[in-house]
Amino acid sequence: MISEGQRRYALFGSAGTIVLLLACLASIALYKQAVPPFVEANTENISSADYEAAFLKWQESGIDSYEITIHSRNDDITLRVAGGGASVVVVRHLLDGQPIVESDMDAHSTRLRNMTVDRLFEIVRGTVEAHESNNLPQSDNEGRSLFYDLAVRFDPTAGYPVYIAQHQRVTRPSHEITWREVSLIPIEVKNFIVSEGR
Amino acid sequence: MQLNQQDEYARRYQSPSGCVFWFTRLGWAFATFIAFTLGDVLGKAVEALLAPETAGAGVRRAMSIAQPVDAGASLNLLAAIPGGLVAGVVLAVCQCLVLLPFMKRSGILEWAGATIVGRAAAWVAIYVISKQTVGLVVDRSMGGLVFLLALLVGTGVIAGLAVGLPQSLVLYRRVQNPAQWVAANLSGPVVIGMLVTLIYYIQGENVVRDFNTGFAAVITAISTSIALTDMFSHATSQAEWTQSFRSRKEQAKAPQQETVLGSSLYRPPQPPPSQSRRDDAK
Repeated sequence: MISEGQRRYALFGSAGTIVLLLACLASIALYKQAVPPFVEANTENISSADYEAAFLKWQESGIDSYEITIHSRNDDITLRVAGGGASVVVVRHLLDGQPIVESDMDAHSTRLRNMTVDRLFEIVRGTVEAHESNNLPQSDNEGRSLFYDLAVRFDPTAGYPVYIAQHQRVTRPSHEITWREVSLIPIEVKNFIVSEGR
Repeated sequence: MQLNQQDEYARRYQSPSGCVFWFTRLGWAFATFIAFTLGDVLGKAVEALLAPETAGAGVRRAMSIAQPVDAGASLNLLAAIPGGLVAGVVLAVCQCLVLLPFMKRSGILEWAGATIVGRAAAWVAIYVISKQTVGLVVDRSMGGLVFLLALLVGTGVIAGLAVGLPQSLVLYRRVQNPAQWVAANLSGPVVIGMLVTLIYYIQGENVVRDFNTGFAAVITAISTSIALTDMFSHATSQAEWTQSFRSRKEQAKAPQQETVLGSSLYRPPQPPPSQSRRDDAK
């Protein structure tokens, strides 16, 4: 004979288990939405033709001097670029929201100078060419397979890159799990103001 | 105060003696370990028989904290359910053999049913979750690691609940705290979930996948054997074993004569002095 308490205990216990099972399945499905499932190939969301079209658009815009704000990892950097990249000045640099540079200062480091639109185009061209020519390492010295996912977005009007990121997927031959690592630190253009030259 | 007296009474008369206590504990741990590992092998063999494409050396494996799960695209429940039932039968038979001296036939049958259903449910739940993880790409970051840990530990909790909950229902009216049994069943799969997460993070694949069930079986066997003997000591009046323990202990005590007031606190009635003198003279 089952008592009322026993019935309630069974009901709550079973319901809890089923809810937990559904939560596990739902979280896997949601995670797969955020991070695409494994495919046994490199992936890229643009072709060299897309790159050429965007670059042409940028050249046709004739923008020579501009102020660009870039977010990359923990940095928010605003650069003033003039003369097509001949002069690069750091207007503001925030690290984790804390200011490092607040007044104009010449950008000496390669990393900062790589954040001009021309250099961003060079980065995109290099990665697109590497993907298309399959010129990327396919395995590491531990025998793990490597795959790359390139994601690039261009500004629809001026054509400059607004987002560049590349991830590396690493998996063992068993393919039980694939780990994704950052291969190219994501660069996102948060703000772009044309100074002169249009 | 009353509770303390009850505990003392239970300790003395409703719990097994030292020898029985340790024999039960060791027997249970051994039976559970053997049952989990043997059940895993037989369950997998049944699956392979019903779905040969899921077995073999060349078959890719999905992420799993227990039995091996193939990474094929199809969800073959018609093979997984019989596999789980076979694993459940093995576990039920082994555990019932240890419980035979403590429960009546109806209790043993209840336990067997609960174990078969629970183990099969755990088997199928692990199978379904593992199948869903095929192709999963996890970020090698704190967020990704936390997600993986939560997923595998969550799977362990489901597997532990699936077995522990039906069994605790059998114990429900027999012991004071049936939830303790569920907690004891969680330990093995939860620990193995943590271990497998760590191995995936460090090695990139589960290099101990063939020993998943064995590791979980060792932990579950130990934790449930401790819980079982503890529950024997904290049983309700409806537990069959309290009768046998009490009668055994009471038989072992020297028989006492009935006192005037019916209490052992008083000495047995002495014969009147005149009668005792007469007895002496004889």
